[in-house]
This record gives sequence, structure tokens and C-alpha cells, in this order.
Amino acid sequence: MKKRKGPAVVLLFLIFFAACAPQAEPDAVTVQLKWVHQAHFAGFYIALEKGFFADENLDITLIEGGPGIDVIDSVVSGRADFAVTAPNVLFTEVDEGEPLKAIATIFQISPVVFVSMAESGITRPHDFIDKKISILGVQDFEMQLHAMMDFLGIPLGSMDYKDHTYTIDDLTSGAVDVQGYYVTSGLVRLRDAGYHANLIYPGDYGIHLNGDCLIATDATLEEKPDITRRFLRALLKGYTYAIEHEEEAVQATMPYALEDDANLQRSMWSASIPLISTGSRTIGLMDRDAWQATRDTLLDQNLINQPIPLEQVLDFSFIENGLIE
Amino acid sequence: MMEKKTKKTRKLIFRNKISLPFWQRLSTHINLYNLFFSFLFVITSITISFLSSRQVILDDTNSLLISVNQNKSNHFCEWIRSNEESILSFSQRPLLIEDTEMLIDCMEQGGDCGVIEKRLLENHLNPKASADSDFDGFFLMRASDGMVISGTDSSLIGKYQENEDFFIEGLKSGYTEPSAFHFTKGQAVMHTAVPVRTPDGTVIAVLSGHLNLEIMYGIIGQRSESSETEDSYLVNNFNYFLTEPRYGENYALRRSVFSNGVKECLAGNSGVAEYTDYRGVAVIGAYQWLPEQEICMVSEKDRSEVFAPIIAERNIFILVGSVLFCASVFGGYLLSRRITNPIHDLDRMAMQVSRGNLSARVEISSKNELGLLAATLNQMSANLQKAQEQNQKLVAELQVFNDELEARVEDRTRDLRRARFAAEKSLKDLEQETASRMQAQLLLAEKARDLQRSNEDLQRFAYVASHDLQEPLRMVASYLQLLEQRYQDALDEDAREFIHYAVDGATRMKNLIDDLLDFSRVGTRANPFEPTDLNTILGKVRANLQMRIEEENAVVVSEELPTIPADPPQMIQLFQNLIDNAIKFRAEDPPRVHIKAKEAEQEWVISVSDNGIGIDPQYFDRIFVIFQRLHTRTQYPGTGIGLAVGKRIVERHNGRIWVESAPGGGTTFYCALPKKHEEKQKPSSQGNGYQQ
Repeated sequence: MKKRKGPAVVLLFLIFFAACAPQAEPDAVTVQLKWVHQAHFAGFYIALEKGFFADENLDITLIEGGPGIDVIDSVVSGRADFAVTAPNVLFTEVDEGEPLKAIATIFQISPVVFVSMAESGITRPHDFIDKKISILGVQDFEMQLHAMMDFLGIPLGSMDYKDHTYTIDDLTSGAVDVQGYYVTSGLVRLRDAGYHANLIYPGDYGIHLNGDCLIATDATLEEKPDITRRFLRALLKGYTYAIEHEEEAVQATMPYALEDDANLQRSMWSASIPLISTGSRTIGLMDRDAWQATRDTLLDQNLINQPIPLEQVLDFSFIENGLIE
Repeated sequence: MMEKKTKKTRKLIFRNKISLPFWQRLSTHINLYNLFFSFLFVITSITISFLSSRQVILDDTNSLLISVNQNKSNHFCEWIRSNEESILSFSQRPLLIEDTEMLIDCMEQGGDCGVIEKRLLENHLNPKASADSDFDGFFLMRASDGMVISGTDSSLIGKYQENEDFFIEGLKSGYTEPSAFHFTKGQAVMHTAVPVRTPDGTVIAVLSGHLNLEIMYGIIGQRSESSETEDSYLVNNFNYFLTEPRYGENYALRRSVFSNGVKECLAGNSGVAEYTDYRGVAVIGAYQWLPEQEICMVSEKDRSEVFAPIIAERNIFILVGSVLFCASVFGGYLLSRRITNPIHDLDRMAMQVSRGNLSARVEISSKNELGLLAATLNQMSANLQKAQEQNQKLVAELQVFNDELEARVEDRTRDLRRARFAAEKSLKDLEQETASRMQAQLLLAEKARDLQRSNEDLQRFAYVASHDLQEPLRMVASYLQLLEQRYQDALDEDAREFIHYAVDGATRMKNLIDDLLDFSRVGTRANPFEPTDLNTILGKVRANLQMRIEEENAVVVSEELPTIPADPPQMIQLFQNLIDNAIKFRAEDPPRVHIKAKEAEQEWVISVSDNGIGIDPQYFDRIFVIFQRLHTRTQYPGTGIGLAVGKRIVERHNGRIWVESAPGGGTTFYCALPKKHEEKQKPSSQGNGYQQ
């Protein structure tokens, strides 16, 4: 019987051209960062530098956050496909009807900490009573402080609230007794300045919230599941790499960092690592308990109006599909 | 042919003379085969031993790693169990329970509980902590909300552990939590917790101990001194290291590992596999899932170390193999020399022999086949030599003989040469003579042709003349006779005498003409030859001459005569003329004619002898010429044509006629007539054309 070689030849040609054909145009993905460029987002920078995004055929654009930048609006308006934001923000927006969902938790533990000077004697929330306290004008701090006080049964009115001046000077000068900081930022600056401080974590007092997460609109997740998966895979790979290669992560951050201070960025990243890689959860994992605790806290604080089901704010389909490889 | 032979010889010499290119040499072939098979042997044995020892080593390693894993797991679990037992018995101390209960009550009442707190710490927790090195410290959590009410680490007091697994599980029973990074403490911790129950069974608190991680690290990280890469570590559910691996610092709870072994293990499996570890190094690893702790125990060994012995073994094998190989090759070389050297000797000897040196002998160095061959060759050479010697002797003899022969040949050659010169000379003369003869012959032929022509003319003339002359002659004679008869009386004596002379002349002339006609008719009126019996012919002649025989009283005797091819009338004429002549020229005695025949080789010789007057030999030629007469007409009548006609007849019969005689002695005519008639090559024109 005469062998038909035609199909084989065609197949070979197809393989040949498939191999030779220029790779399809990379998919453009825009990400709105929560804050200004800093080591906090080292996973992004590393993934860019190491080509993890390119490997997934993605062309990533990062939009820097900062004062006056509405992260949620960026996503909702479609300027950005994804955004980094805090879980409480997600909940309140969803509560207000925005069709958003989290697809990964970047910071497994909330970076919020309340700080007093070591010699102040203020070591626990009970000591806040009648003290001058200043917190950042971010919902997170107020919510956690209030929730913690509520947990401990300490009346909120017992504290003397002061404005947050975005410096550590208020604390070091004694202008305030307690300040709310991010572990990854303010606390780093305080420590780097050589001060010793008492740290009062909400986590030790019944408030177990998680930190920044990655969100997208329902439409994006529905329309671009593949891009989402690839983006998430590359990003988590970036974070994993950044954690395992701290110095490289810092160096990758430097070209972007608003504050051109490698030591600062290094300290920031060192402080961030335990929040991202806890040793008890896979990087990126969305821990139901933590999310539920966040929702309940928000509800307790009347920051949301209803016990929003977790499925309405979380899309587990990406992380649970075994992205972490 | 000759060239071919030399070519072949040259080729042979060439082969012997020029050493073979190395790839054609037998030794090369032997060495190559040897090389190949030695190589094959060495490679095969190395491979087989490599593979088998690899399998052995792999099996050993696998069982070693499994047993290491098993030992450490057992040790670890035993450590945890004993710690749980230890803390459980601690939690059951009545005084501890009593004080705890008192403290909780005190706190609820909001009083100053410092004394109780201090007593609890100093009497129970601190002593236990310092006595039990497995624990770093202890603390008590209020069962109602998880708040730490007392502890060896004062910073914990007042903090809540309400959502920690060790608190939640510890409320129920003894529980050991895998080590975890404690964010607010900023370090890895491992808790073992047990409920604190009042005698009535109410759980009032959870007693927890910080396990001394160094001990765990020690148990897991314990290394065999025999291995340089053996590595054991624990991995938690989230792929994080729980203990420090050999090649990592600060990995515990900070680094995750996703090696195949760990993945398999976290999927709840136990086994051994080859995979790439956290460093990216190829290892052989045993993994064991510890379901109670929900952690994974891994023991690995670098592949390179595992297989180092094989590598070493392989190197030894390669070394030994190489040595064997070299030895084999050397042995092969020696063997090939052992084979090829005698062959070379044989070759050299054969070459010598082929060049003619038959005394060449090869040394017989062995008793093997080559030795046999050498002996045979020697024998052959000896035989050849003997044969050659004999040959040479023979050749020498031959040479002598040859020399003699040559000398004789030379003599003979000289003679021959001389003879040849003579012959050549005579040949030359002959040639010259032949040439002149040829020339003469040519002239003769020319003459013959002229003669023939003139003869023919003459014959024609004779015939015509005789034939045409007869008529006027007859008229002359007739009228003369008429004149004589009619005018006899009128004529005088003289006239009659004159007439008589005229008539006589005319008569003679008529006779001459008749004879001439007869003569010419021999050629013109010829009959074809037929077998003719000469006896019959002679009979007819006798009859014709009857009158004259009787007149002359002659005797004609004939012997038996042959039958020959002849023209019968001419034969009659021939014999008639001869016999008539014999009678005519008689002597005194009555004529006696004797006719006889004598057989010769190809002819019959007929002789007609008489006893007549004979003929003087000086006239022998003349008698055969026409109209030649030896005697006057009056002596013997006749015209003198008889013998001329006879001669013509004989000649026409290709015969010869000659005469033997002496005056007064009788005459014998001989006619030699051929036995067989041969048509003359030359067509005789005599028989044609002139018949009328």
C-alpha cells in the first residue's frame, strides 16, 4: 500500500511555522498599585525583571498609587485590569455595589501595628487610655483600633486622638504617645532611625485581619480568565522569588522606588516578607478565616451594611487551581 | 604473452619487495580485531558492573534513606509524644490546677492577683521550664477567651490566643502544633497544649509549652557521619521548611520547597524518588508523610555522593579495564608478531627462493602450524634446489651436446651456404638461360606462327593448285590422246613421238597432281579416330597390293599387330605406301617384307622391314620430303610422295616415323603410334575448311 505522506508533510509544515511564527502579541495588562512604588511591590518588579510576565506573554504596565489616587476607580473605570488594595476597601466597595472580587491575598497578615516608644510604658491597648494617639487617615487603622478596643471592652472615647503628620517625629518628640504604623513602612523608618518601640499588634488582641489583596472587576475575571491566571502565576512567582532573593528584590525595586534609598527599601522588604510568606499559608492563598474575620470586623464596626458572602468578594478559582508551582 | 608474464612477475616482486600498507597487514587486522573485542569486552563488563552496582547502590541508598527517615520520624514523634505526656502530667498537678483556678477567679473579680500570679509562675511554670529542657517555656491561657493569664514569657501575658490552633485544640485534648512563624513574636514557635481540668472535669485553661525547637532541629538535622550530603528536614502543609536543611540558613518557616519529593509527600504519600531538591541539585530522597502532625519528613542524599562509589568503582573499572585492555592489546600485538614474524620470515625466504636463491632456509622457531609450514617450505626449497642442481647438470650436458651440435650445424651451414652460393649462381645462369630460351621460344613461337601461316597458305595453295590444275591437265592429256588417235596416220614419227612425250608429260603431271592432292588430303580429308585393328588394316593392304605382291613374287609377313586409335583409311594408306615401297625398292632377291609390332610404354612401335636395296643414311632426311626421289623415274617409278604422305599420316596420329637402313642391307621403317589418342591442344585446322 502506498503511504500517504501528505498529511505528515502538512503537519511538519504546521509545526515548522508554529515554531517560527512570531509569538502572538503579548496581552497588555495594567495594574494599579495601592501606593507609590516601593519594596512593598517587589514581586511585581522582580517578575518584570526576571521576565516572568514575558514568559506568560504579558505586557505589564504598573500605575503608581499615592495620595489622591483612587485605586478602585482605576479598576472600575477599566484603566487598570487589576489593582492592589486592602481587604476592607474591597468589602466596602462591594458593599456599595461595585462588582469587584479578590483573586489573591498578597499580605496574609495586616501590616497595621500600634507603636509607642519603648520607655513610654505603653505595651498593650489598655495603656492607650487617656493617651494621645494618632492614626493614618486610612480606614484600616481606625477600624482595627476600634475593633481591638471593642474586643478588649475599652471605650473608644478614652483616647485623645491627634492628627497623623506622616512622620515619626510626633512619636519620637512625644507629641503623641501612640501612633498607628504600617509594619512595612512607618515602623521601618522608626527602627531605621534607631528608636526602640513597643509594638501593639491587633492580632494579639483578637483582631486577625489580612493585608493587601489583588482585585479585579467581575467582568475582567469573566472575560479574561486565562490572562488572569497567567498574570497571577507570574506575579506569585515574582513574589516567591523576591522572598527567596531579598537583595535581588531590593535591587529590582530601586529603579521604580519613589524614595531612592536602598537601605530603606531593603528594610521595608525585610519587614514585608513575614507578612507575605507566613510559613503557614501558601503565598497568595486567600485564607477564608482571615477574610471572614475581616468581614465580621467591618460588620461589627458598621463599615459595611450586610454580612456579604465571601463568594461575592473572593474568586478562589485561580489560586485553588494550583497556581503555586 | 611474454609481456603478461613479466608483468605478473613484476607484480609478485612488487608485493614482496615493498612492505604492505599497514591496513593490509595481518598484524593490523589481528590487532584491530583484538582492539575491538577487547574494547567491547571492557565496555560491556564496565557497563554491566556499573549498572549492577548502580542498582545495588540505589537499593542500598533507598533503604538507607527510608530507614533514616523512619528513624528520625520515630524519634520526632516519640519526642512529641513524650512531651505531650510530660505536659499532660504537668497539667494534672493539683496545685497547678488550684492556683490556675484561683487566678482566673481573681481576674474575673478584677482584684489584684499578683500573689497568685507570682505563685503560679514561681512554683510551677518556671521550675518546670528550667527542669525540662525540651521546653523553652510555658504559659496558661484562660479557657473562656484564650487570654494568656500566666507564662514564663511575660510579654505574652494579656495577649489573646483565641484563634490559635493550639488553644482551640488544646481545649479538647493534648495537641502539638507544628512549628509556625509567630508574627508578633517575630520567631518560629512550636506549641504543645493540654487542657487544664478541675477535678470535676471542667476545662478552665489551656496549658501550653513552647517546645525547644533546637531539640527538634537536632533530631531532624542529625547527620550520619558517613555521608557528606545526607540532608533531612521537615516540611509543613504549605511547603515551608520547618527545620533548617543542611544547605540553608534561616530557611525554617521562611522558605518554601516545591520539589517532587515534597509534592508527593504533601499529597499524603511516602516513598523514594530521584528528583531535584530545593537547591536545584539532583538527589535521591525518601519522603514520609506524618499524618498526625500533618508534616512531611524528607531525607535526601545527593545523587553525586550516592553514585560516587560507582564513579570511583567505574574509575577503577576503567583503570583496570584500561590495563586489561592495554594488556590485551599488547598480548594481541605479541600474538600478531608471533604469527606475522614467522610469516615475514617465510615471506622473506619465499622471496629469496623466488629470486632464485634456493639455498634460502627459514628458521623453524615453533612446532605449530607455522613451524610445519616453514618445514614444508624448507623441504620444498631443498627439493627445488636438488631439482635445480640436477637440472643444471643436465643443462651442462645439454650445453656440451649443444656446442657439438652447434659446431656441426655451423659446418653444415657453411657447406650449405657454399652450396647455396653455387646454386644461386647456377640459378642465375639458369635464369639467364631460361630468359634467353624464353626469348628464343618467343622467337620460335613467332617463327612457328609464321610457319603455320605459310604452311596453311601452302596447303591451301597445294590443294587449290592440285585440284584446279587437274581439269586443264585432263584437257591437255585428252586432246593430245585424241590428236594421237585421230591423226595417227597423218602424223609423222616425230610428231607422234612429240605427242607421246606431251602425253607422257601430261600423265606424269596428272600423277604429280594426284599425289599432291593425296598429300594435301591427309590434312583435309581426315576421318575421326577410332579403334583400329592393324591386322585388319594389313589385310586390306595385302588385298590392295595383291597384284604387285604376286608380280614381284614378294613375301609379306606380319606378326600379331595391336588395335590402336587411328584413322583407318589413312592407316591403310600408310602401310600400303610402306609395303609398296618395300616391294618397289627390291634387290635381286624376291622382296620379303616383315611387319611386326613392339609395345612400348605409351606407344606401339610398328616396324616394316624389307630386304631391299637399303638407303644411304645420308639420305634419311630426304626420303620423307615430298617429291624427293633418290632414284630416277626409270629406275623406280613413282612421284616420290609416298613417304611424305606416310610421314604426314603418322604425324597426324601424333606418332613418329623414322628409318634404319644401310645400302644393300635392307630397310626398316618404324612407326611409333600412341596407344591412346590425344586431341592436340592446338586445334588442327587441317581437317577443316578445305574439304570440297
